[in-house]
Amino acid sequence: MTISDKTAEAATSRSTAPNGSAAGARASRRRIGFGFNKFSGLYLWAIVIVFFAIRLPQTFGTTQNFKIMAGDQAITAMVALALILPVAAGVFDLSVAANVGFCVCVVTRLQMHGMSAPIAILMTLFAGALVGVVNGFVVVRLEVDSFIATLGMSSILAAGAYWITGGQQLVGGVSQKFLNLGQNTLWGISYPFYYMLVLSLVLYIIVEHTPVGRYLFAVGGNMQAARLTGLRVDRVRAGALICSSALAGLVGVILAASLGSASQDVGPPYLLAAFSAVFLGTTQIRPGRANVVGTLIAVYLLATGVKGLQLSGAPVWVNGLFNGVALIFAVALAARGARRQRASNAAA
Amino acid sequence: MQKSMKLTCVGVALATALTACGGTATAGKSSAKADPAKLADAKTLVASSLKNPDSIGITNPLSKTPTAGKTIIVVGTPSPVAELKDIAFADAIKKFGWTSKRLVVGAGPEDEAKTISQAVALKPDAILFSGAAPSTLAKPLAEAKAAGIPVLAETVTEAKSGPIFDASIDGPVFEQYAGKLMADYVAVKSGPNTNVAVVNLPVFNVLTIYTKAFTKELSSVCPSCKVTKLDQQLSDVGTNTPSSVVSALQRDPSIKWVIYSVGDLSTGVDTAVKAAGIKVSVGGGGANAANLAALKAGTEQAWTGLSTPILGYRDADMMARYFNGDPLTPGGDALLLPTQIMTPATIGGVALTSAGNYLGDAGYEQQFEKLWGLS
Repeated sequence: MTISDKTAEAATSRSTAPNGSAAGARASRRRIGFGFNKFSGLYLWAIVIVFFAIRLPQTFGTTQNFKIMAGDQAITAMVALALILPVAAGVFDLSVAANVGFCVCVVTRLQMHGMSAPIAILMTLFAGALVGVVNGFVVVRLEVDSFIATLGMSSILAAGAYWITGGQQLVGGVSQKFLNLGQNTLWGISYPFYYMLVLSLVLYIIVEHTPVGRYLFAVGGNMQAARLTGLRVDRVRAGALICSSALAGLVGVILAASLGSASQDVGPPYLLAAFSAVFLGTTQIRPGRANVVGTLIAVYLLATGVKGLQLSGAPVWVNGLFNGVALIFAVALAARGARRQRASNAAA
Repeated sequence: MQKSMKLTCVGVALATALTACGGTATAGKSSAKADPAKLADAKTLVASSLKNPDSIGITNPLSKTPTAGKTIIVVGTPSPVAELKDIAFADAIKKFGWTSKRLVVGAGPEDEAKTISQAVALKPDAILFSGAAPSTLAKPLAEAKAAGIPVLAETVTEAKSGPIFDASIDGPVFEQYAGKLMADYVAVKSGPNTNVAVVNLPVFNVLTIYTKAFTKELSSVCPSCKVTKLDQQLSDVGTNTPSSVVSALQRDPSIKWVIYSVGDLSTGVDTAVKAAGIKVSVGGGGANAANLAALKAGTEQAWTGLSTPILGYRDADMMARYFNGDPLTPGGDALLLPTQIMTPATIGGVALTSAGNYLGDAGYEQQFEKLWGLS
C-alpha cells in the first residue's frame, strides 16, 4: 500500500460501511453540498481568522499582521512543497530538512572561503541535488525502503553539517547582496514569500498539468500497475527524490540569506511541520493525494492558528497542541465529507 | 450537516479554550519609584562593567606545576559554546603534559549518562562534564566513584556530590551576576516604566537562573519596569522563536527591550523583527559571534559575554589543583568568570577570538601560566 493509498484510506475509511439505504435516504434529503471533503481546511481557516480577528482586532486583524504571517511561513511552506513530489510518487524523503540545514552551512562556508555568491549558490544547489541522487540510488538500485534510506541520509547530512561548521555558528564573510536575497522586503513582505509563490506555481503546473504529474501519481498510487503500463517507475521515484533534494538545496540557500548565519542545527526542526502540512494538505482540494494548493492551505491554516494563539499570549506549548488538534480536526471533517459523498454516490 | 456543525463548534470551543490557557507570566510593579541608592549602585556597576576585564579573576598560584602524564576524558556537549570550551581545555592541559579525549554526547535523553559510562570504561585519570544535572547521572557517577575516577562538573546548578570534586565553575553565581548586570544596564539606559521581554530556554536550569536574576534585579532597581516572559522549547530556536518574539512585540508595542538568556536563542529573530517593521533594543547573556557582529553593525544593543577560552582554562586549573592536593579555592572572584557589558560603542575595543567570539582578556594564557609556574 502506498502513501497515497493510506492517506486516501484515512480520509475515506468506513465509507463502505453497510447501511447504504439509510445513507441514501439521508443523502436525498441533503441537496446542498458544502464540500467538507475538499475544503474543510478552508472552512477551518476562515473560522480561525474570524475568531481571532474578532478577539484581537488591534493585533491579529491588521494588514501588517497578515503580511508578517505570509513572510514567516515561507521557509516551512517551501520545505513542505519540496516533499510533494516524493510523497506523490509514494516515497518518503525524511532527509529534506537535514538537507536544508546542510545546504545552509555549505552556501555560507563557501562564501566565507572567498567564493562569490552566485558560484556558491550553484554549488550548493548541486550539492543538494547530489544528495537526492544518492537517495535515489539507495532506494531504487539498492531497494532500501525510502523511510530507512532517507532517515539514514538525514543523519549523514547532520554529521556533514557539523563537520562543515566545526560545531560552531558561522558568521560573517557573506556579501550584503546575498543577504538581501533573504532579508529584503517587497510591499512589506519578505522576499522568501515571493520565492515560495513562484515555486508553488511551478510545482502546481508540473503536478497538475503535465504528464510528469500523472506519472508521479500513477507510480504513487499503484507501482505495479504503473510498471505494467510501461512507466519507468524507478526513474520516476529517483527523479522525485532528486527534485525534492534540489529544492531543499534551494530552500537552504534562501534560509541562509534570511538568517545571515549558519549552524548545524537549523534544518531539522522544519521536518515535522513540513510533513504535517503535506499530510494535512492531502485532505484538501484533491483528497487522497498530495497537492500544492492543499499543502499551502495547511501551512497557513496552522500558521494562522499559532499566530492567533501567540498574539493571545498563549504559552509556547499551546502551539504544538494547536497543530495537533487542527490536523485531527481537519482530517476528521474531510473523512466525514468523503463518507457522505460515497454514501450519496451509492444511493444514486 | 448538524454533525459537521457540531464538529466546527467543537473546534471553535477548543480554540477558545486554548487561548484561555494563555498568558505569559509577567512581573513588575505599578508606578512605584526607584530606590535612589539601588539605582546609584546599578549605575556604578554598569560603568565599571563597560570596561574590559583585566584579569582572569583568580589569584592563588598552584603549589607546584602539575605532574605530567594524566589523561582526562571530556564528555562534550554538542553545542558551539561547549566545543570551544573543550578546545581551550585541551590546549590548557597540554601545558601540563596531559592529554585529553573528547567523547561527544548524542541528542538522546540517556546519552549523557551513557557517554559518562563510556568515559569510565576508558579508565582515565579524571572526567570533565558540563551542563547536565548531576542528579540525573546517578548511575554513571556511581560507576566513576567505584572506579576511583574523580569528576569535575562545570556549568551545573547542583552542589558537588559523590565523585564530583568541584561544581562551582560557571555555576549559578555567574549566571545570577550576568543577569543582574544586564538588568542594571537596561534600568540605567532606559529609565523607569521600561517594558522588557525576556526570552528563555527553561530546559536549561542555568538559563532560568539567569532569567530569574534579571527579573529580580530589574524589579528591584526599576519597580515600574515590567518583564514579559517568553519561554521557548529547544526545537523552536531559529524556527518558531522569531515568530514568537514578533508576536509578543505585536501584542505589546510598549516592549522596548528583548533580552535573551543565551545568544543562540536570537537566531533569525532580527530578520523577522525587521520584516515586521518593529524597532526594539536587543541584548542578553552569553553572546555568540552573530550577536557580537550585530553589535558592531549597531543592530543589537547590549550583551554580556561568556569567555569560553577562559572557562576551559579554569577547568584545567581546577583539575591541576585537585591532582596537586591544593585547596580548591583559587582566590579572587572564583565563582565568577571575567565578563563585561558590550555595546555598539564599546565592542570595537573588546577582546574577541579569531572566530569573533567573546574572549574578555587577551592576556589570559600568560596569567594562567604564571599561576601554574610555567612562566
